[in-house]
Amino acid sequence: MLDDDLMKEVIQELITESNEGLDQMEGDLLAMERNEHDDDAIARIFRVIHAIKGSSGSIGFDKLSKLAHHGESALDKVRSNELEATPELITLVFKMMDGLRAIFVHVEATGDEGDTDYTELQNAFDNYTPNGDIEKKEEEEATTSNPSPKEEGWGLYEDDKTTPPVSTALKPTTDQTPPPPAHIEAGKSITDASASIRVDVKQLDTLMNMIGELVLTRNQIIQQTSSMGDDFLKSTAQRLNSITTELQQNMMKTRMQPVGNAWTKFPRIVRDMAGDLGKKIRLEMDGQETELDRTLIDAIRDPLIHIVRNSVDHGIESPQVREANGKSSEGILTLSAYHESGQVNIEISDDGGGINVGKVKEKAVTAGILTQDKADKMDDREAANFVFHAGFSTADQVSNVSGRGVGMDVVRSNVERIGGSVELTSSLGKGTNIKIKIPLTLAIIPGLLISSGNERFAIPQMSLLELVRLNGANAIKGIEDLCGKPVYRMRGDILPIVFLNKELGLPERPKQKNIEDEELNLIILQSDGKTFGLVVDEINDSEEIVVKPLGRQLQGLSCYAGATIMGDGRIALILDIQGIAHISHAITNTSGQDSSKNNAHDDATSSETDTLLMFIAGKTSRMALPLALVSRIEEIKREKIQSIRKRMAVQYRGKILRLFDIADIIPNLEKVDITENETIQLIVYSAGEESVGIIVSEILDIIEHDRNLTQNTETEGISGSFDYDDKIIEMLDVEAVMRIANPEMFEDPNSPKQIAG
Amino acid sequence: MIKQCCTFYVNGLFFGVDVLKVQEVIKSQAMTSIPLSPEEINGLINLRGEIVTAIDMRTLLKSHKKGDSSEDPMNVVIITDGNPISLQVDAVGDVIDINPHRMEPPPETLDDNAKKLVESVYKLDDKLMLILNVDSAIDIKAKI
Repeated sequence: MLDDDLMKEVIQELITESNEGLDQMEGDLLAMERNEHDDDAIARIFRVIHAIKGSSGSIGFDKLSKLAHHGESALDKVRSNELEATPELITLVFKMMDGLRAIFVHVEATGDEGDTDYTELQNAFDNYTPNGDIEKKEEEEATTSNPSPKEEGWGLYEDDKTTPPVSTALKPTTDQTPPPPAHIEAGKSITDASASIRVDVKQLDTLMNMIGELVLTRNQIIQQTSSMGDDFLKSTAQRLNSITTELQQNMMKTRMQPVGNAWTKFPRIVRDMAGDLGKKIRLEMDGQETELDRTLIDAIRDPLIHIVRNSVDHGIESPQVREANGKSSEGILTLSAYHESGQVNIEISDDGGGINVGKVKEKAVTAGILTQDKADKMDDREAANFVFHAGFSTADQVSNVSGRGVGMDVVRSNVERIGGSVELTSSLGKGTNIKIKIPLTLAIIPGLLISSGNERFAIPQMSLLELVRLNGANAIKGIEDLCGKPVYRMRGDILPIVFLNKELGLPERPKQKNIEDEELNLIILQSDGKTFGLVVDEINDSEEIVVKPLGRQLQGLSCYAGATIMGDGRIALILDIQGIAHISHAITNTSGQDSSKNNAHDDATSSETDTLLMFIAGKTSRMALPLALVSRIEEIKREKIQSIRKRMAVQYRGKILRLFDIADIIPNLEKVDITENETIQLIVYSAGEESVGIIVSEILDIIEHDRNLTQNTETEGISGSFDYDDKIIEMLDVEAVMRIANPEMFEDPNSPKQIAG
Repeated sequence: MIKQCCTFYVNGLFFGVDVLKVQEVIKSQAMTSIPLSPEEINGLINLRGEIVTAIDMRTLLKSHKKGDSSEDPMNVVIITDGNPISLQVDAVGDVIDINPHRMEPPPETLDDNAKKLVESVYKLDDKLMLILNVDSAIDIKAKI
């Protein structure tokens, strides 16, 4: 009699191996259905089933063994070419696999095989004949019992009303359109590795933790030795440093898994759903080998499934609708993963109907999430992303119009929990693309160390946009009061301001004796797609920090994401930006106040100030123009400037950008001497498709100024002047200048062109 | 059944904890305070790279307000299934062997807070030892 623990181990091994085998088998079966399988596919499938039958039988799991046996016999006939692998037979095999998996789950949970009866399925195998009737009955039963996946939609696509009844929908797989062989490799390439061993994930986690410790100890040693004179100790510490870094990187790698592991179920999900819905969908997968931390893969599994189901259900139209719209009847769903700037991007795109932005806005307005006014101003991209809004997708008014629309907000919050972000772009009639950006790992992240009220904190850098320091009088004047709420004007946008000391009940920073010594450190942060400023006492340093969870007792404190140990051995709490924003009410989820950015714009315009770019035109003249009109500020090398018929131009983003000096147009200005400097400053101004570059001597500053100008109509191209910092600044009338400098830019393309001479 | 007890003093009261639940006893450590945390939680301690939440036993027993202790507290580090927890106490006593016949349930007259924390009473020759209910002692939930 086997020892209990040993038995458990044997069973566990059986389950793990069988599940791996089944995953691989699924890939082979799907390939077979599409006639893309290689010669060994059937042999591999047969081996898997045979192994399950054998090993489960040997430890007394009769049900498993029996079910596998019936499948095996049928597959045996396929192998010996007695039977053809028809879609009907493959569907039966899939059902058997589902049955096996269900039993495995039961075994894992309870130790026995459960009471589900598979006799009918077994008989179906035995009675299977090509073109027989039995399996049809089977399938009909299966489809009626299959719950409709409809209810999980995001409710924004225009659902086809013409979806044919389910009975006809069972056939799509019979006409084979061979798609390019992009998929199915996932399972194989991963399981084929023979020079590998199985390691318990817990063991890896322990190792990872210990390396975290080592990193901290290393930091402490480096800090200590750098102040000591001993050269030997210093060089030893350096070696320790590099070894630790390498060890850490290698350890990270062992935790990495191909992202394809989270995708293995998709071919099957898409196949089954498409079948049920009567759609033709081809799933293309790309970049499965892209590696990601194991915990992150687990975290994105469900959001991905949700998005894929949505795309299949609501995104891709039925073949009839697609043909009517001039598309190929087969929809394409693409999953791709790739690295980009230290992050992993996963894109899910379909070539379906896309999201009707107008309808989204309409629904948001009726649901009271958005005012009509704001809806009109909102651009399409922003509006499409409203599907992620919690209040939006669950509102009653929406659910009456189409699908229940639960879940996209959950998708976003799941992704944001792991420090990622989701972005959606859609074009009506052409398709939808959802891009998920995920950090490579969670355990060690770049953080910004700050101090407030004599305590040190860390801020994850992924939520950081920029740092602003205000000195002297600006430190006090910079923060303004708006109906009792502190705000800061940043390039014309009004940002809500949060004082960290106040929110955390820390002592306030003492006032300086001299106003010149006063300073204010502002950290511009982004959370939930909204921006706000956090005032802290001091900004210290940025460092790679090892994230450690807080104890159970402190989990409820939403303002902390964890803690980290710094080089000196002290602990710093890691701020949870979303949490800080919520407790300070800088960001609310209530429907009345939506994006702070929109409010900011309203205020900026009502207070009659403009953000101006101040520069030196010609050699010495101070001028300004509204920042909103500037498309870019560029610095180019002098030798890049070319002369075309006495006009200067430069190659810019694949186009020719015409350059001119304001002195050419406005009289009494000295031209910028472009031979003097190696690099030339340019202000790029665009109108429509056309752009021109204005050569200036120097870009000075970005300032806020009210719109009242001393009128000055004497000079063409100057709309007026104002006083700033005791200097007279002239306001450039860019449009007027452009009309003179580059009349073609303003020509109405529809009006007949004048032919010169 | 408790076989041995690790003992400590909090504000004159003599406490015991099952020795198997104690990871170690350490002297006073540098503390990082946690703004907005409940007053029973003193802060975080770096214990060889592990982050340990420190619970102030005086506040927990409602016997004294925080900051009354003139001496540096000792840390009795408790093993839990998650992060270890430190109970900050005034002083640490011996490890005592337990004779089960000397154990008694706490008297009914204890107030609710004490009843929650005291699992049973152990009769020593010269004094009484209160056996701490560790699970309810560390059952603090911060929330904002």
